[in-house]
Amino acid sequence: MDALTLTLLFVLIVLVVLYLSQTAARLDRLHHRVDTSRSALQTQFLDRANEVLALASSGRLDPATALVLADAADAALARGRDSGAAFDPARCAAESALTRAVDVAFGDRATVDDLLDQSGGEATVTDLASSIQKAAWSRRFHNDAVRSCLAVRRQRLVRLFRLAGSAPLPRTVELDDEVPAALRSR
Amino acid sequence: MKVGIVCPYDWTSPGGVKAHVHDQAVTLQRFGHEVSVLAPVDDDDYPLEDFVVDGGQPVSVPYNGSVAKVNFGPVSAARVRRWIKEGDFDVLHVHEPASPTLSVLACWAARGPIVATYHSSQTRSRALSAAYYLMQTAMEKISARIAVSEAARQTLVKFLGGDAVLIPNGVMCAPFEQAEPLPGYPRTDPTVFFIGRIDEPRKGLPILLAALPGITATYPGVQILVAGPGDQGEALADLPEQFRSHVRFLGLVSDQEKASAFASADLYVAPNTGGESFGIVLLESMAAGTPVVASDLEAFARVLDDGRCGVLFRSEDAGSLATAVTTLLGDHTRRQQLTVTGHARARQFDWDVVAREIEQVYESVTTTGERVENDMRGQLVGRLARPRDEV
Repeated sequence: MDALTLTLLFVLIVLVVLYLSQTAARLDRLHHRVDTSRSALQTQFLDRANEVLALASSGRLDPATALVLADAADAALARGRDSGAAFDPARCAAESALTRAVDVAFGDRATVDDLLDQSGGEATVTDLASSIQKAAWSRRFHNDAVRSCLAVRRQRLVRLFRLAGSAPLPRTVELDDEVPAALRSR
Repeated sequence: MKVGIVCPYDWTSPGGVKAHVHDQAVTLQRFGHEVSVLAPVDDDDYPLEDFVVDGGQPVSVPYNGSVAKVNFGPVSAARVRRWIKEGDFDVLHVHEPASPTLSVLACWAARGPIVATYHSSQTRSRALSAAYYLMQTAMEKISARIAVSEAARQTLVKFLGGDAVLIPNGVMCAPFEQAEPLPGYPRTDPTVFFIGRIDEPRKGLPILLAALPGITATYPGVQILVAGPGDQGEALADLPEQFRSHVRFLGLVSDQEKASAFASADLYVAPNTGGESFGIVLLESMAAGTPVVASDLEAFARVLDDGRCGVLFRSEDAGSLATAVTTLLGDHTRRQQLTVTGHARARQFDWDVVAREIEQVYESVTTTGERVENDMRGQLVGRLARPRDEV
């Protein structure tokens, strides 16, 4: 091998090493973002269930509605405690069921208006709406982080050099968390 | 909460994003947050608000087919890092980060909870594709993305990848609710208000002037009150002589005069022909209680809740506009009704409501208690620039 080839080879190796170290740092950041957004997700969904449970036991709603909401919120909380921040299918199903229960309870504007008429009702509605909104948003943010991470992990060089180490492939969290129309701000 | 906000565009010249950042900062401060805004400052004589930190003088460069004023280079990068270090923020909020501005520098230099707001709807720029790798590294750090409109969200999804939640532009309702009419208003004859650059066809003044003869047929005393900069003679060139006395120009108006002009008019007309991604002026009119007649652009239809809170006419159709205006001027009940529904609609977009939602996004990304710090990992250029600033 002549000097030119050696130099070129050396430059190539340097470039590859630079690329790999940059990508490793990038991947590290993305994994961190996935972890923090997952922990936010856990916090916000527990908050949401607790908020619904608090409203159900506040005596502000009729007993039938209260019972439906309390049951769904309790199931979501139980699943949330069991599965940690994993969001396994059972947890996702319980959270979706809670969304549906809230949607049925506040499906017509009258329930919300009734709450707003009670003293301190406005704060109750605001807190509930805000916790539901925050949960939905944190899932969007989490899934966005997961998708960014997966895009890098699919790259050939990343797989070839095992830059992700032993970190498991993150997965998006799919469940129904739509904010009921009556609780939306616009 | 300590919030650091980056405004990408010159703080000393008027603009939509700058106004947004200003109102956001003021409202968050009113909610009890500690806010610092980093922004380029072109005019050194401009009296900076005490929450604004000078991000340096922007430089004019050709970018993406036109001339843009931007900040870049190691000096700007060092300023950004110092601001991040001294600010010790809970959240970093950058605006329009997909452009060569302080915003992308801030994303690049920081780690921790970063929120980004995307304002524009645009087609993919060549420059962006070229710098894709560097930009992407910065973009990937953003923990939460906000789009101010569905169009801006679509742009993000299509060209940059990733998703965003929708939090619209805000409007400060109070100044419009409290405004007094201009001297001599309201007149006994109807007044129709227009605001926007009068020599920019997209703002639609030619459409309104083309509709004027049709309106005068029913309302011979009608006045078109026009606010906005531009050549007045040129604007009237196509209008037959006998109708010109129906038009009154106010020229460039202050915020206060604008609010008063809304309060002086029976109707506000937004005849824009395109290029509007939101329609903040419509909300200002509704806040003032002045019914809106607007072209049926997607963004306008959205703000007017598909015609529930204002009247839509066929875009670029002067006949359709003339009919809409004369019908509404003749229907007092409908106008009163629109004043009420319009005002309620504007209230949904009040900065108090919008900033609460932004606050909720902050809460969503700060649950782990991490703070915003300088980030040096895997950043060659960052490392090189570091000694100038931090040693």
